[in-house]
Amino acid sequence: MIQLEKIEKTYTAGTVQTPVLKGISFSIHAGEYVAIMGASGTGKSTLMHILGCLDKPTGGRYRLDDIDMVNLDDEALSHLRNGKIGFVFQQFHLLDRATALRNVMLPLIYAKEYPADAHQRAEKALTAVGLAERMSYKPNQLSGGQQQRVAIARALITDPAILLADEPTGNLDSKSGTEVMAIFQRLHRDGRTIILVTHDRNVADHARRVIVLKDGQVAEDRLVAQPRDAESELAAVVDEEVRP
Amino acid sequence: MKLSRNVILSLEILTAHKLRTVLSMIGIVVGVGAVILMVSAGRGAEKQILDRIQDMGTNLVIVSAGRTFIIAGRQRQMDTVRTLLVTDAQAIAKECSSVALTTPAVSKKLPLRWEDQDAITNVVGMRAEGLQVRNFSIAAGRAFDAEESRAAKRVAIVGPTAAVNLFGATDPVGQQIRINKVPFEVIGVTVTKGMDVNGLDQDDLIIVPLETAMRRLLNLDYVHTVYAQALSSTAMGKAEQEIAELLRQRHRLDDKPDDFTIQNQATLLATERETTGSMTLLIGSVAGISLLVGGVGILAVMLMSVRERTEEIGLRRALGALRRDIRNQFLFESGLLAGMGGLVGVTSGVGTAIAVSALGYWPMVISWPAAAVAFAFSVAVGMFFGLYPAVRAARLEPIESLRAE
Ligand SMILES: Nc1ncnc2c1ncn2[C@@H]1O[C@H](COP(=O)(O)OP(=O)(O)O)[C@@H](O)[C@H]1O
Ligand SMILES: [Mg+2]
Repeated sequence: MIQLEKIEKTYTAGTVQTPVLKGISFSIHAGEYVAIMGASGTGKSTLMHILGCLDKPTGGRYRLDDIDMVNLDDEALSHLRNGKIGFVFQQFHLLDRATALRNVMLPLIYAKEYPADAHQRAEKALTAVGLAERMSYKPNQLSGGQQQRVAIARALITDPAILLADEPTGNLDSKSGTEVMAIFQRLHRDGRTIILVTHDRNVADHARRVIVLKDGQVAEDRLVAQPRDAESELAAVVDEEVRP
Repeated sequence: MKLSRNVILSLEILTAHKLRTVLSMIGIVVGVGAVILMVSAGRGAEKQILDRIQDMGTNLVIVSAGRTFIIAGRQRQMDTVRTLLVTDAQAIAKECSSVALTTPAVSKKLPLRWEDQDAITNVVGMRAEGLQVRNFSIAAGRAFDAEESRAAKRVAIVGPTAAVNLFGATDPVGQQIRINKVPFEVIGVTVTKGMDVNGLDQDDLIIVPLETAMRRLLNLDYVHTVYAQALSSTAMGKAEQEIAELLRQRHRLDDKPDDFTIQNQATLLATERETTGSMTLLIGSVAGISLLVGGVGILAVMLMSVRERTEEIGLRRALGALRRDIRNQFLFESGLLAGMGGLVGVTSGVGTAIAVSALGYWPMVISWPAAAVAFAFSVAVGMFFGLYPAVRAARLEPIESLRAE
């Protein structure tokens, strides 16, 4: 589904050139749950922006569903983002003037066809992340974990092929983070392709495969022998809370 | 299409920024309000002048003796001309097919005396039917009749202004006065007419029978003016022609210039309409400039909005918005701001105009087409000044916008 061949990205500011990605190659198949790991500043977000068609590489080839991304124009990339990709960001990026429901419906505004059942779809998506009771709340009336779940519902409303999450637990406490991991785990079980970017090994170990970046290159690409199970971790946390 | 899906969200965001939204609208509100007020005031003034012209009489063609000149906005007779006669008036009525009837008149400023009160006013001599031709109605007492006129009776009808000047609070009807030392009895008071086209008080006058004025007061055998009533409003031009021809022939002018001046109400109306119309347009355009200034307010607020909502723009782009979707959204929002401002401006402008008119400060005639144009113009101004911020928003790069915190 995704093929990266020697992807390079060099930022140019005036005469100063900063190479960030120096030839990244890997493939990801449909239904995979992959964590991209690496220290801060190694270019994980940069790579994710390229994967998500928000940015173009300065070298190499990126094929998504056998479409060569490098040759596409701005408009075609926008359509791809809307149809194939769902983003979850560390900072949630919700519209703070709009309700949870309106936030979730936002991608549909830019869809080729506006579904007649947009409202119901948004309600369903919010219910799926456990926010059935919070649909008309504005972001500032929600906890961080709830806001991130609104963002996940928003990412899924267009039924994208790939879910891209950049440090989705970075701004959350550990319990909310585990809840998000549990949702991802469920999505993966339902067949969704997920790419999770994180610097945190404990988070990465929820995925089935981990790609480690170092110095702008792939340092490690391995399967996780025993992925962590977010649901049982959650149950443990709940147990702890219940016990005196 | 995408725009319409976004409308509710745009409205929610605009209403969430209440203070800023209101501030950005003020310029437009004032601009649109000013346009409507100015145009209403101009049209009110126009209507007043037209009413005054109509007040002069119906389908009137006015023949004045001698050539008249306009000096400092007033019509003045330059020389004493003795050639316009009562018989001319009779001949015009008889021979000009477009003229229904005529009435000759004389006028002069003369001293008045009542008990120990003195005043000077315009004394007008005319026939009984002249009162109708010139739209004078009687408010108190009575008018004189044809018999009294023929017999040169010393009776007078006073205008309301002259009445107050001479009699103060006393009822004029039945009072004995002297006009240029000649004793008269006041038999009636006319209904207030207000000012004429030239801003002269039409109520500061005394009307006496034509024959009385000519023989007993002025000692004239000629008249100053002949009022002719055309058969219809469309016949006025024809009547003017016929009268001119007849008078030139009767006065044996051959190759000499006219010794009379003819004006007709239709051309007076047309000229006045033209001058007041262009005045209204000028004032309206000046007010329109304040609308443009209002557009600058929109520009400032939209630029602020784009800067503040950089993250939102980045997000929308990440979710699939095209550059033109972003541009259209901000264009729509500035148009919406200006449109709301325009609506408030129309409401307050019309409201103020109605109030000013009702309180009697100035006659206002509200022009709905002008209101519609002002409203449409405000939306256009909003979109025009919103274009630059909108294009700037559309140019933002999604990743950088998302990084901006
Ligand atoms: N627009 C940019 N211009 C220049 N350098 C950039 C830009 N964006 C990111 N970088 C640099 O690229 C490197 C990788 O950034 P990033 O992809 O955000 O890393 P990570 O997400 O792994 O922390 C960093 O050193 C960062 O400073
Ligand atoms: Mg990062």
